[in-house]
Amino acid sequence: MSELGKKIYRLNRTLHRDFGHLLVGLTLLFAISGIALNHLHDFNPNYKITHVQKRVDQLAPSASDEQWVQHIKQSLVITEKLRHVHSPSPSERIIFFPNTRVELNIKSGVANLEQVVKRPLLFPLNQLHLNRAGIYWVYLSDIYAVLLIFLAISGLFMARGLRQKVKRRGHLMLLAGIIIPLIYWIYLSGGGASGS
Amino acid sequence: MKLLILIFTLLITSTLSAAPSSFGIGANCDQATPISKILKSPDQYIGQRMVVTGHVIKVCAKRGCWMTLASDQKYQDLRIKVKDGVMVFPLTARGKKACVQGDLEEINLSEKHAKKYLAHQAKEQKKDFDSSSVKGPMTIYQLRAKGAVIQ
Repeated sequence: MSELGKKIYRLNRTLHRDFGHLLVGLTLLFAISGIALNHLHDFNPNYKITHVQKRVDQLAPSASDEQWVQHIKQSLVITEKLRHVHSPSPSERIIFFPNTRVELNIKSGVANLEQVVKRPLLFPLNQLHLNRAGIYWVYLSDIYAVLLIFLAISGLFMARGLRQKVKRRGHLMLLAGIIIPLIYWIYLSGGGASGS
Repeated sequence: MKLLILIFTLLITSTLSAAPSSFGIGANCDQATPISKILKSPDQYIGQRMVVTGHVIKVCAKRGCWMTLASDQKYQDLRIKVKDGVMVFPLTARGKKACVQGDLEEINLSEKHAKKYLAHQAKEQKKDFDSSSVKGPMTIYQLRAKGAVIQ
């Protein structure tokens, strides 16, 4: 190997190692949230939602929304500040609090409580994965993607003087990594999946 | 390398200060057309770009790809739809006031599709649904959102 070749080889290794370290956090972020978002049909990756049905004492038919809100807060021990009251029909009220929603049938006194809690780790990770953090995050993601491309290509030239057997295994791995998505691409191009 | 770390840090810091209450191209609440006026004669508004305002009543829990806004008139609401991933309405927006800019769409459902649609809605709301109550086709109106502001 010429002197220039050695210099390029060493620079490649250094950059691959340093960028590799830099991208550990972002790769974990995208990988963990990626798994969570892949399984949207199986569970809600952003929020933990609990439902409870309770019955409350009925108030007089002339009771105002304010009276119902006070009654619900006391009966169901809700300490949150009221956000809004909506009437989907004459006999129904939906009472909104920041983390709690109560669907109330004022005729029967049946109250369906829904409590929503953001998943502490997954919620912020998913928001970042879905680019909900503004334009600067988009730029950051672009830089990350470009560096990831660099890592993928520079990784091919990391080792030298490998034994023939190891080299062959590397080639097979490389080929497999290209063929697998290629098979899916051909399958999809032929209309082989519903796309859901 | 130090420069790259600095850029990353600056971008992350700037990102954290950006509160996401505006979605897509946003919306000017002052230009809102009352939902009741739209639903009174929807044919006049189909395909038109408009702004509506109201409290957020329901939000798609998993994808945030739709929400409903309460009308200015009692017992009435309007569905707001976005393409999956283009905008993600947070579930925590429920009960807050929102302004949405978009184009009004008319969707005609056959009796079979209307039953399916209403059954799906009832399932989401954990309510009973009697398919025999649907007699014939139905038309629904929704706003295809291009932007929104949640206050």
